[in-house]
Amino acid sequence: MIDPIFLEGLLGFGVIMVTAALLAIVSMLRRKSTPSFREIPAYTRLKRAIGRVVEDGTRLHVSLGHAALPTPQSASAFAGLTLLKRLAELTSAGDQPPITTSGDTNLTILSQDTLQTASQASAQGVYDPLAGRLTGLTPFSYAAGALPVIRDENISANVLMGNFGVEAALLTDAAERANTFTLASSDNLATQAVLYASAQEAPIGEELFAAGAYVEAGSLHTASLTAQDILRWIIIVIILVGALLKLFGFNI
Amino acid sequence: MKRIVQVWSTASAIAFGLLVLAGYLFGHNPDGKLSFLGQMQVFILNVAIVLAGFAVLIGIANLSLVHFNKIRRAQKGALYSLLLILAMLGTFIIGVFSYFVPQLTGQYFTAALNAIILPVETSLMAILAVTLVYASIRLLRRRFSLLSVLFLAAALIVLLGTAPLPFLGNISLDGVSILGSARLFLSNVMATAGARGILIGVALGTLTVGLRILIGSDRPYGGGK
Amino acid sequence: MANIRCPMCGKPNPPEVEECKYCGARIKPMLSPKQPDPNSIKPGEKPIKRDTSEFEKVKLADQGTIRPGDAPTKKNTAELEQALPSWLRTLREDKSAATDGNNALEEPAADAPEPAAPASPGDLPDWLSGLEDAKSVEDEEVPDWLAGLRGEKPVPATPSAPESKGEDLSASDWSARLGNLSGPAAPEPSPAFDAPAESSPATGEPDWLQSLQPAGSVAEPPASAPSAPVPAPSSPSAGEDNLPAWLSGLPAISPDNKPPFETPAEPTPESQSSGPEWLNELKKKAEATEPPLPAAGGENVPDWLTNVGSAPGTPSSSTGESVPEWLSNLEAKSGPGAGTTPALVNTGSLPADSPAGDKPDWLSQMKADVNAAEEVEKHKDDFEVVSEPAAPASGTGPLPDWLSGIQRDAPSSSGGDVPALITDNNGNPPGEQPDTAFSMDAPDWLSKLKPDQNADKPVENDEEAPAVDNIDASELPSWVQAMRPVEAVVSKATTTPQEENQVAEQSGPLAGLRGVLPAGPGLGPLRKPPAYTTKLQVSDAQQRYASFLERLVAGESETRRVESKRLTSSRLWRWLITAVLFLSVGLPLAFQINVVPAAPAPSDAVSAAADQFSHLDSSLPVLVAFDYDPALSGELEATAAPIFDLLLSKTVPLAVISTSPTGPALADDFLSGNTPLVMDYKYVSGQQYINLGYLAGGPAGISAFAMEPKNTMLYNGGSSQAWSAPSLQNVQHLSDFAAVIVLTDNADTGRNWVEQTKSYLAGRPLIMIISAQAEPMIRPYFDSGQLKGMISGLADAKAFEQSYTRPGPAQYYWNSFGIGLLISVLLIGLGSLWSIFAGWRARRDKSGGEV
Repeated sequence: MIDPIFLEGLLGFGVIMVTAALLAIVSMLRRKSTPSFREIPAYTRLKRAIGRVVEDGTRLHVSLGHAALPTPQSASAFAGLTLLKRLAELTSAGDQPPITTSGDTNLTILSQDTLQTASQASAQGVYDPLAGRLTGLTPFSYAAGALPVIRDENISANVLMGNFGVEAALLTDAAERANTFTLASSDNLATQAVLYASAQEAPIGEELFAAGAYVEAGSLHTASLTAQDILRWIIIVIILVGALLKLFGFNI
Repeated sequence: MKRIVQVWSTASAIAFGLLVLAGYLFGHNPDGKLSFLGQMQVFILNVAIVLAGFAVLIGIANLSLVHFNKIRRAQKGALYSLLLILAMLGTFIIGVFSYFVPQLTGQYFTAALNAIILPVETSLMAILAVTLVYASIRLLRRRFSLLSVLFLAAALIVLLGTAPLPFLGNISLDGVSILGSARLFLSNVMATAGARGILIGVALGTLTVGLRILIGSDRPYGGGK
Repeated sequence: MANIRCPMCGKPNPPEVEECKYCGARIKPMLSPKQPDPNSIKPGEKPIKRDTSEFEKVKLADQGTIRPGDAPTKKNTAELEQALPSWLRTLREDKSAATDGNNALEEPAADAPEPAAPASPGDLPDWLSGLEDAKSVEDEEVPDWLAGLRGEKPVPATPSAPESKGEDLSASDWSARLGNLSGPAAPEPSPAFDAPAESSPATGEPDWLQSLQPAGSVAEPPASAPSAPVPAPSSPSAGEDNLPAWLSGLPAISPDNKPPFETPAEPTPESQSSGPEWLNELKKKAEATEPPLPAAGGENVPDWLTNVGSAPGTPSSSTGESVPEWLSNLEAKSGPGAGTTPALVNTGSLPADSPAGDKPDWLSQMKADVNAAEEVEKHKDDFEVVSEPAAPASGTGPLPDWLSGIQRDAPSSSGGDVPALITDNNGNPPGEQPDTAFSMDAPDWLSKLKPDQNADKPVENDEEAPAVDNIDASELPSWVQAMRPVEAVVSKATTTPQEENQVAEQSGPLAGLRGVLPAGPGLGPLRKPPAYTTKLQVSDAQQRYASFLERLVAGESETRRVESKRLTSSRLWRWLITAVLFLSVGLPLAFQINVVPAAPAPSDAVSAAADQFSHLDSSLPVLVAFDYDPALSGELEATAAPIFDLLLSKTVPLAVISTSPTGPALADDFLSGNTPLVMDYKYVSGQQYINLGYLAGGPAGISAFAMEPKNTMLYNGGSSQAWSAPSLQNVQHLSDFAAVIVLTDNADTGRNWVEQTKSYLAGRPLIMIISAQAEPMIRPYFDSGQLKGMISGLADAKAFEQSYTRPGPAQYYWNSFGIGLLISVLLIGLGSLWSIFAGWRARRDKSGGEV
């Protein structure tokens, strides 16, 4: 008799290995073909907003949320970091580097590292260590600390990508008052509902993790999307088969 | 040298990530005790927790520098920055002394919580309530679509079904509350089903992001790809 | 080989591909950049007309650019006379020498054919303008081919366009030749023509025509000029190296693409007989082979050159070789008669062996010219017209297009006809002599900002122009000064009736010269001299472009403020919503309004939680995680109060932990503070409950704590006595707690607790007290049995109170909660309807505005 815990671990390991294999295969296949995505208007408008940031000489604000690195929510923060790096590269021709806010100290350090990396590729090559800021250690204190950044730092575009709570509505409201562009996405379901009502652009669900592919952060991001689609269809089939088996009286 | 450091940091990150993952998956022996991988996972996690604590110090230093810079440049809101730094210094000093006088901790931090943190954050929550109501009102103006209409309708039904209505009570049919039943259906069936679908997507995204980080192919920080 | 980066998308492509693999953009250009399209309009060139007045040209050349909106200043061109080049000054000084050849030059070409279309010699470069000078001084004996050099239109014309700086260098050769050409007027050739004259017997080329060739390489024709009747003389050692850049790159003529040329319409026998044989033969050939209108000039022919012959009605040359056809014709088809081709004017100052690239004296002595101009003015009446000796009457056959075109356009050189020295350039095609001000890198729309210098418009006479706007002569290059308008000077000469071509000019650089300007009878001897305007001639479109540019430039310097939207209505709405919500929530609290019915029966989750609490072992401690934010403390504390009322009533020892930094303080405030119901039990930290403090690491910390609680949380808020408290002494594992209760507002936090502790609970219940917003995400864990109970929000707390405990904060807030919900629903519903209406109205207004 196999230990259920071990079996569960084995299943998880299998899922991870299958995903890794899918990533590798799709990544190799993608090199020979041009990827085509469905249009996500939020990212299309984000590109326009980035263009305006460069043209206006204003600043981009990227908020990464307050996900702790050891948590599963850090994946959304990494998606935000990837987007931050790409946006920092895109705005490197502008007058001012992006500014980032976060509610977790580890995330702040990583955002500073990302900004420093992007600044090396920029024309100015100047890195401002204070551009990556920790604004608070609790969700609402983090939001309260980020509000002045949106209002006073000559921001014209806000990107909120990471793990947020409902306090994100305060940030989107401040961005709307400042008449700036706002793209906000979170892996938190309640926050997604809030952002849908309050943000100009609110990618839902896994669209958050597609940001890297849509801003051309790398070929592996594109491969990740394809792998996710394949896995999603596998899960759909498993759910349907399980439901049918249950419907016909099979005990699973 | 820099290249070596980068390679070393990436390799160590991948190795420790794989160890934690293996400990999570195969951390227990059939007898329920921790396996070697599980023990390794516990050790690494404890080290990570200590490092996270140090990271808090770095974050506080960053916060102090930002606001000190604001004061130095006499920027807008510099007075608030000054208040923040003074409060932070006071809290730090009391925290250090509290090691020797434990009573001081409860008194001071309880006072700070009741006098500052709770009022401020609950006020923000109250503002958030207004903000959400206003955002809901503006939703159809900004984004008029069937999805938005459904979104608002669901929100209204859930709100109405959360509690009995004043003066009206529970609008019921054959002893069954209509709004309450509708709310339960929405939150327990529709919302749960939709939430699971979204969460599956989020989980898949998390999985691929984690894999990219784990194999070192996606490192937005530190000069990675 | 390095990859080629796509200019469109920036992605690298293999060097052999012609189109980008990614975006499909063409990487390699269709045409070589070294082969410019001669028909293309270059930036800075006016497409059709480039009629610029003399003053404007001077201004352009002087200042380099004309800025939009600038009004040109009036210049007295008489001042320019002071800066005449030395070769012109010497004309005045060498009066007697010029007289000898006067007759030859002044012989009118009365039998010259009428041109089919007016040429545009005015747009010729300076060296061709020199030919115009020569034409203007010719007399009855002027040959046909030379007569063809005359401009037909004696319109108030503008001289040739100013040259760009880049042309100055390359034009040094031809400017030197220009000096030679217009220099010696004596029958004996000047030293400058000695060398060509020696070789002329072989070539039969006139001296003056040889002088058109580059010095040092005068007689070498291109190898691809077999049409030359006479073999070309041997080339001097310099060869093509001495050619200027602009000449060396010109195509050579070939038999296949021999340029078409036109014959005069009615060549007179006199002219035919008077010409040399080679010219007559060539002329006959040309008459027999009248070419059709060819296409545009060859690819390698510069625009200015190809367009010389492309005057209206004239065929353009179509050469494709490296030497221009006019040059090859001149070099290869120079017939005999060198001795009969005198120099037009005798300067006597230019060295014969001056290298091609050397700066001519008249340029180098510019300063001296300016200083000596005043003295020259005194002797201008002493000048004599230099006559051109008899020349071949009609050399149309072998002549190149540009010559034939000019010949056809030349007026009949009757004595009374006085064409302008520099005629208008109406027919000047684009690409010739680009203006410095508008050349290079100027976009097309900007090129339209060039002044519309239409020569047809009347311009002021120099003599009538006010002298207040004099140009400082020292500021102008001499070659510009030399291009001063002479119509005003000529005006008096035109008033002179037909005087048998012996009219002496009275003013201007040709003052004192006789018969320099042929006075044809057919052109109206009393023609009113044109008046040059000093205004910048711009069209409406150019004005628009100029104003647009001005606005554009001015807008760049202005600090533009981003207009913020009017937020008045937004603020009003917010204040209104705030007031309504405040009243709806505050009034029931203040006045204890009881209008909301009691809560319905507890849900299954609430009932399950109550059942767990009722069966709780009170001897074991209960682990409570305070994982909510202070902002949500209002809801969470009201929700947890009845549960803790039940729990503490059993004097259950508690162990408190939090994964939130503020959690321990919130726990202390909740348990030992003023929370309703809970405060009645007077729990004290360290006694009834142990605050384990902040658990860092999120799910990892929870996992570690679940595995080894004591090792993970060593201290109790700075004290190491946490686990030595009586209630926790027996706790070694998570399962040693009687239950685990999690208070959270975050579904992720609740999920972490469920997932990280499920392996270590060993059947102990995990119960959650959560915010209503987390219920949809947490409920599946209750449905799956991982949670043994769940209380969600104030509604469940009210139900719990009603069923299991006494009234508490849930009851206290119940009415405010119910009224607030209803008001919020009304606000959202009515506001949404208003938003729909406002949006529809806005769209209607917008569509109406568009219509």
